[in-house]
Amino acid sequence: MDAADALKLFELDNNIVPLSASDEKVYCYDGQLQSDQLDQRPWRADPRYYRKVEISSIALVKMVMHARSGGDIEVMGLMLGKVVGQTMVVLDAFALPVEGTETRVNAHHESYEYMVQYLEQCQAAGRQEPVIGWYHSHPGYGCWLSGIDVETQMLNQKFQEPFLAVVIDPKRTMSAGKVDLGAFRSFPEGHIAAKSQDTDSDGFQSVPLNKIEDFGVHADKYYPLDVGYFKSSLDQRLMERLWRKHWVSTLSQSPLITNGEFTTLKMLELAEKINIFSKDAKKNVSAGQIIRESDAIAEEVSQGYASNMIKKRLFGGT
Amino acid sequence: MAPRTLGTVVVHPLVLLNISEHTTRTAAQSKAGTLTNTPLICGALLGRQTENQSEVFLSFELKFNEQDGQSSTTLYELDDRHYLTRVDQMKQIFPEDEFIGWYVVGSSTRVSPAIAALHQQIMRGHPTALLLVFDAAFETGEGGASLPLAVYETLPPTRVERAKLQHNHGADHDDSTTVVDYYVESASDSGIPLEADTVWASHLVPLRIAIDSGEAERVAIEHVANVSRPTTMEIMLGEEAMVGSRSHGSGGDSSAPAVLTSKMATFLASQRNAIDMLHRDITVLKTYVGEVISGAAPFDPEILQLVQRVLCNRPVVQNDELFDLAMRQEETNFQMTMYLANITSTASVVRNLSHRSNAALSAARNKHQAYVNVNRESGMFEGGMSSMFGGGSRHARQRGFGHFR
Repeated sequence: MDAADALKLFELDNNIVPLSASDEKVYCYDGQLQSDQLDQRPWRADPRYYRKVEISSIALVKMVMHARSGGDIEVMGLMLGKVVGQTMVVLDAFALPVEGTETRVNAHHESYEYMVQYLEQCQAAGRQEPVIGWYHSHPGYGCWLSGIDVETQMLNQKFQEPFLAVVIDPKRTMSAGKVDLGAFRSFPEGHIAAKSQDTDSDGFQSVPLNKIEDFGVHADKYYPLDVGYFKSSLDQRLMERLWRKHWVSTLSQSPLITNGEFTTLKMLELAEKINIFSKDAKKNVSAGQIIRESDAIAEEVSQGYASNMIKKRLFGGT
Repeated sequence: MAPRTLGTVVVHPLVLLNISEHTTRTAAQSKAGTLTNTPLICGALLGRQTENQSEVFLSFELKFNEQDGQSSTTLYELDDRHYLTRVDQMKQIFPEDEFIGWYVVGSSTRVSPAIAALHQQIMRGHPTALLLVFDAAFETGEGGASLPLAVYETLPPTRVERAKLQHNHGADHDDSTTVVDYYVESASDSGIPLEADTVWASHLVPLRIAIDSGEAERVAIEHVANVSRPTTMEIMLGEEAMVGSRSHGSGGDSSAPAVLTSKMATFLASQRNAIDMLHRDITVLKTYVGEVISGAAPFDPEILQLVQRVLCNRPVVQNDELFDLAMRQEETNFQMTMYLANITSTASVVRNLSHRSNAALSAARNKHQAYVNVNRESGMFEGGMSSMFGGGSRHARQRGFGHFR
């Protein structure tokens, strides 16, 4: 067999993979550029320096699947990526062999070893991005940082900036059929956040009552980042093909039925919150929160109803 | 020798995305010139195998070391140590998944000589490894309905005429419509003497590919398909451009999304896309049946029976009392929810209003304090107003909160 011939078949330079110019930039790691940006330590001057997160398709799918595989148990992993200006770009993610219970996710010694080894192997296989943050799951209680999470995040931001925390709620993701994900960064110790309407207008989260105290106490120690999602042009083309096999499920499902139970739960929860609120407005429940929650429920239900109407028109005969 | 197929291989979208990302990344790096050796995009496939079905759940990149010199038969050598460490790592998290094959990215789904040579190496450790060839150059558009990949199963080696081996090595198969039998020469230690011009070789048989996803995977994939945007220059430029136009000040409103998209709009758009697909598929059926009638297409009873079955499915429910009842119930539930949501937000508006008017009124009272004091005699006015203020505000608060349910 002719060796030169074999080599030729693997050449990618002749545009086998059509890339857009932006793909090239996003998927290519420039170590020099990174350290140039990081040398300035912009987060020192502005605790809210990073405002946005961009998550790649593969990182998203991996994180959601891993979070779901944990069931009721919290799982965690790390994200690889880079920073571009004030945006943090997450390019990949991997799971760590740690299982947390309740709100106690903590990396242990053996998982640290695992991490180091994993990173080595990644680099050897051509992935050059460093760790840019961690993710963990909150099965059923929404995306926010608990007291322990905030501590972990503060510690990490102290020693390995830039660092990002991502929280995924696999239960809400499944029941709503939409990815429920939040990205956060903590403020440095002693920083006093501009309180005002901040916690109100930023990332809306409905937190269950038994967690609301934990949520309330630590809510001003971190801030949410705007989350965006991106895919490469190859992903895009692949998705078009996959969509040909996928669209049936979009039509055949009824959100009213699949989410029914969860919607009822949310309604009960909301009623309880209103009760608390009407007794004592100083508690951890705010009016704005209640309104947003009730609006969110109404929106979901009306989506389900709209899809019912569409299907009735399509398939229901006259 | 009758070709025997193992049946189906189920590939999870995660694997496809992983391959896609690996490809994109390598291509980007190779363009930027930061790669040290020739890109060889391949990786391991992990999953489960039963007697007649394989399921691929995961994948990870493999590392091949480039051989210098032209003397060796292969240009690349699998890095065993790297491979074993990674298998071990994956096992810690996904203990049920085994190595079942490998993937390679090319410019078609055919098995090129280079791929065959690599497969030979993999076969040394895994004699029945699957081979997934991903075509990175696939076209999009109306024409392509199938996925840009092929999966081959490795059959146990048999005695094969050397000519057959030559067949897949030598000739170029630019004509992709011809079905080609691929053979990969395998080392044999059986000691059975071979006749002249025969070799031990494994037949690579293409498998039927099915796509399946777990429930979480499905939600995530739908998110990627419908919500994720293609990469834009904006991501690279960071937000410098946007920050300029943004008010600095309080640092409060930093997380306001640049483009406001309503969830309802996204939802309706995905419904519309799905209906578009349905429409397109029905159009295909219609065209086909029309062509059969006019004689342009050959009459195939099997296909027509399938079409018939699809048509029979159409009006599943019509004038069914229970169904109508269920629909009405859902409608009632929906309207009730909307009603409650409206009451809730109205209550909040009323509460805000009462707060504000109270504030305004008490401000007004302070301003006119002097005037009120002078006219103390009249009494009634002052007392009346203040009781209205105080009582009013108490009243409003109680009412507003009490009925806030």
